[in-house]
Amino acid sequence: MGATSSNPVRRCKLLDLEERRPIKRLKKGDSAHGNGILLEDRISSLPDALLGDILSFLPTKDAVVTSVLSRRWRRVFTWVTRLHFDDSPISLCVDRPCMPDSFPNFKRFVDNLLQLCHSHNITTFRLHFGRDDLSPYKFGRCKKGCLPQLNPMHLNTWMCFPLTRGVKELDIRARVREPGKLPSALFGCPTLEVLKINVNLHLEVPLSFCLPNLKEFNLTLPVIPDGDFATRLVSSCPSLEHLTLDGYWNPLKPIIISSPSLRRLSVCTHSLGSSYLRTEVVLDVTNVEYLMYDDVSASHYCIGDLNALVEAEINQSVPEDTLNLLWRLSNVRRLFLMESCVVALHLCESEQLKLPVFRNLSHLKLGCSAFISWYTLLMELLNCAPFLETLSLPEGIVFDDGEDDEQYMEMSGQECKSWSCTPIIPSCLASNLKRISVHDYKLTEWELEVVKYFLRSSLVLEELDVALECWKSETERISLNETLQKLPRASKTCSIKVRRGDYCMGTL
Amino acid sequence: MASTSTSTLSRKLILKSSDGEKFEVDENVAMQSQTIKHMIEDLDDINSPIPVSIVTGTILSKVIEYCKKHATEDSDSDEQLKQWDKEYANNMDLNTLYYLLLAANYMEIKGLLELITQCVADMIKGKSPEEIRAHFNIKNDFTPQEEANIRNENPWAFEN
Repeated sequence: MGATSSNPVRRCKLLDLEERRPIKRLKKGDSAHGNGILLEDRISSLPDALLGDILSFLPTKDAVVTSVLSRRWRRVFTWVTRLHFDDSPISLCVDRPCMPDSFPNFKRFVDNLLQLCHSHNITTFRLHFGRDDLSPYKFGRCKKGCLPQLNPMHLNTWMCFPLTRGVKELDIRARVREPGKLPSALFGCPTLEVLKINVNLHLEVPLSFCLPNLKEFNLTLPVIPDGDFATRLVSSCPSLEHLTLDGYWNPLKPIIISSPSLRRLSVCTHSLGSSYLRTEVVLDVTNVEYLMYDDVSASHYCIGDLNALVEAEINQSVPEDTLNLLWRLSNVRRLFLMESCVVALHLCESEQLKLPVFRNLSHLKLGCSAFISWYTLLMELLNCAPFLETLSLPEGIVFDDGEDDEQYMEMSGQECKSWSCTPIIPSCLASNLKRISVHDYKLTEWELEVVKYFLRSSLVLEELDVALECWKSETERISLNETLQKLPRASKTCSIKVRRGDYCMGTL
Repeated sequence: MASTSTSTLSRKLILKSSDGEKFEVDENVAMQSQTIKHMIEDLDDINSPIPVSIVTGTILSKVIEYCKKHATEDSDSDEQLKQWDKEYANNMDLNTLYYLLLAANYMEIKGLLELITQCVADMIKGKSPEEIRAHFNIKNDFTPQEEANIRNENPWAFEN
């Protein structure tokens, strides 16, 4: 509302532009200059601010290209209200030496723009450069020398530019060779509604926060400051709905997050192992609908009501705490248990493994490739999920085909026997389970017995999707497909798809 | 927003275009224009036609078509509404877009203004300067030397 009425000058100007000539009608499908009618250049007569609005929809680089169109367009780009800087053609490099060479041009470009920019109202400011996380296979990250050289003070000037111009959305994704500090002014910008920071800079905890309008905050840093940074941040953002904190978080320090406004919460702590236990994890987030909590050091939970929860993704490693947590998540519709979490459940003694009934659960995803006996665990989970419709195993069933490994052979033998002989059929298989997907399939006997069991026992299965591990050949795919298509299935409508694997896992 | 539109649902307004054409519309349709909203507040007699001085009848009918679609909030999903917007904008030739842009700006209809500016931006996106000039029939009044100088000012924008 403020935006539309804030510029009376623009409206007055327009009245002078009144155009009373009859409009030349074009037939549908004609291009502006087609059909022999030469149209006038009307766009150039639009007022600066309106042209600025148009160019604001483009990446700033494309907006600046218009400076060469004609004299009228020479400075039109300085009226943009959204700035979007992106060095992507060069930062895609894995080891290309062109990066350090081209960066000065990019730097000059940003400097020029910030100096020329006319608008006192910059609603969106995006600055993306030096990214090293775009390689699809994550094999070839840029070496440090490939990252751009930018003086920390210089970067601060860029980042702080929009803060005094009413910025609502600030999105900084940057990797620099010599990381400085993140300016604490970012945490005192009252106009901000969306703040996305993904940088390799250090964060010194600001003395105070002033983010009354912030709705979405994504923070990805090498290190999340411990102490009460997160706790204070959250409690001083009364409008915050989406929060992501991603970075190494000292496993010995507590995590305390309390907010009635949060709807989506993701915490990824990059804790190194489970030899350290966190002293305290307090999550008091009654209205959260989506919770991602990845913290293998998590312990000593204190979790409030999670009655609004729809989806949860969990990774943590202490068996008792995992069980405690699952009891708090019993309302969820979609549940993803990551590696350490599955292992933790596997380590529970069977008399210990008491799970809640997940009455709403329709989608269960188990991401684990370690050697674990799936039979006990999977049966237990399926028994507790009477309305399950989709079961995904994005990391597959076995880690490798470990034929030389004695322990593997023994476990595999037991598993094959359990799956092939069991008379047990959990109720979800009889009436609800429609889709099963298994990725990273290694062509072992063990996996085949699991697949056979599900085909034999799932009465309403519609789709079995098997993706081979990425280096299996097309011949192997055809052969597995033939084998699986011949297996007896309890559901007549079940289709079986066998695919070759993708390199990127974890997206089911 | 919602409360004003329901309480005034039955009232009709008459909008008069620059070329004298009159349009009777529901108040909640017309109120999407901030300009008209402000005019009504100052108006004693709601029954007299409201002049929309710079907009012709042809364009005003298109503006009203947009406002009608967006006045009934619950009938369509966001997805359907987006699709409708897209088709609405795609059916306009460049000239109509230009006048619609001026109308939306003058009448302060935020959604329409954004739709049209986005649509024009899409025409510029990914084109070379030569292609942009051809599309909008913009005459290049730079000398080759001047043009080269401008390109040199921001090599980043022109090289990649």
